[in-house]
Amino acid sequence: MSSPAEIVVDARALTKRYDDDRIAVDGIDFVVRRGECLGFLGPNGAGKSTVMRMLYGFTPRTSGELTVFGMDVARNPRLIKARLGVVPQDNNLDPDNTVWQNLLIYARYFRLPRKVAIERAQVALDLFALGDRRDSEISELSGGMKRRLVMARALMGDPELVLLDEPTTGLDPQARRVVWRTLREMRRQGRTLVLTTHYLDEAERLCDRLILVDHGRVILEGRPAELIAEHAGGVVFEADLTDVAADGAPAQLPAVTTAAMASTGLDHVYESGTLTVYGAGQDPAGVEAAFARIPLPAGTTHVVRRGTLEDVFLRITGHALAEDE
Amino acid sequence: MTTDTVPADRTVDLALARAVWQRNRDVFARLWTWLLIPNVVDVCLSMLALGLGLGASVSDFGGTGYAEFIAPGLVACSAMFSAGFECSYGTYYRMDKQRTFDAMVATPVQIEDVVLGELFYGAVRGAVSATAIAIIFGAFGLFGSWWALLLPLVAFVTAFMVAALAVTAASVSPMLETLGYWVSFGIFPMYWLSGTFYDAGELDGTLAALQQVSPAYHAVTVARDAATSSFGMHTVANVAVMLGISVLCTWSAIVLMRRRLIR
Repeated sequence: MSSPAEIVVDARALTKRYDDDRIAVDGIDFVVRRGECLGFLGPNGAGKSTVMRMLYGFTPRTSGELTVFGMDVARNPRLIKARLGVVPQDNNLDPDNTVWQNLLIYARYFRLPRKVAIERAQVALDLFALGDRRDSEISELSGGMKRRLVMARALMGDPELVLLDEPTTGLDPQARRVVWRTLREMRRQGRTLVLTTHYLDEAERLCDRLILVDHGRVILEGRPAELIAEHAGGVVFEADLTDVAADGAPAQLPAVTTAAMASTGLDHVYESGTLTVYGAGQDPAGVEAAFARIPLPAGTTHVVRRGTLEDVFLRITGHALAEDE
Repeated sequence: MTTDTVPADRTVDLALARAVWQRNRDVFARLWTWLLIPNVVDVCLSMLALGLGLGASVSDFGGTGYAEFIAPGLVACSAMFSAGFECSYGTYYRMDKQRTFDAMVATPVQIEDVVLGELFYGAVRGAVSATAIAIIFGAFGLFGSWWALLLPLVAFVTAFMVAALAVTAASVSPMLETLGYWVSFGIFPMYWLSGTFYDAGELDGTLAALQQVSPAYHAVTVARDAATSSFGMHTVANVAVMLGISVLCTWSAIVLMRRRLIR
């Protein structure tokens, strides 16, 4: 066993309560280790962005402990922020300046000598494929280019830890893949990443470890593959009951269906006309046969598919991860 | 109310405040013709209408011509207008619409540095406008003393003071539109009560009292002292009042900006 990697973020009973008594972050504990990519996965309003803002001292905590690089965020914000790169949810690029000036002006906030700033800006533009956009105005960039420029800007301070709040929200699939590629490049450079997302594929592809959050609390934590194997199973059975009757899906499953699943120990969730049955905890060899024996009303269509993080989230919380999509 | 663990570090880092000012300076350097010429034209039109127009029927005003009387006040007030708009509408726009401040405070820059950088920029912008106008007025021989060379410095202090008031106004303004209150109840009353257009001793009662508390009145008085070389203990007192207001409003701007942005 190698020694555990250095802890760069340590949050204990971290809580944020706003003046209107709304609790955005409700006593959460987590650590981030050097070199890993940690993802916060949860629906909109789960408290992910608040945690990110607390990490760079923008949102003060109500109670609990929060240290970054071993320093208290409330006491040493300047020292901590000098070693951070922040990619906020909204692109706050400076529309009064060009692409190149955005990078050089940002470098001044890290006290970089001009020569170093120019070198780093050039490297960052090349890394994010913005080299031919050097003299463009911000308003001339596409959504994907703006996002990449925000990420390039975050690297100006040569950060050890990069915080990315929904790095690909609102981007088309092509632009998302470009962002993923650059995130992997940041990891190759040895940087620690913390990101938030409500995209499952993103969480699964990029993150070593995930923290699932809901209503400001941590509900699960672990490696993506392990979370899926443990809480959803390698295979999942999904049945669509929306066409079984003229007036749509029944409000509840037929008793015979529920009883059959209970007798074989299959766990399920029934929501909005969709029945999801989990293979977790079952013998992998026999689980598909067990699925096939579930009695269903005529007119039901079904598939057997690979388990996903969405299944994990739905099973644990009883509601979907991204209700708006 | 909840009590958050507030940042213990509330110092200003002058090097980072300078980086904030440099960002605004760079934008000014790109757009200076658009930003500066309207200021200068406005004030020159005031001088034409009042100094030459109205001045023709106001003879022997305080021992000088009317144009000479209003020239130093117009210079000081141009600093006030320039900083008063830049650090209210301009600051609000950067803070709320462009989220420039949010981007800055994700770096080693803190709110305190942002506010000081904005104030310094407002002061420089006011001083640049006022100096351009002072050069034009000087070329027409409207100043009675070489001490008028101090006007850029007076304008800088004036603009810093008004910038601090303006950022304070921006920090409590719920919307960009509500800054109209700052213009109508702040900048313009200060302008008309500044003593630019009439002998300050002519007012009495409530108006005289309002004049005494109006920051621009002190600025215009100092500017006129410089232009006419009539310094005295009252000059020192007026400068002290301006510095006092500047310190107080810098403090209020920082405290209120912190309250607005840290959430």
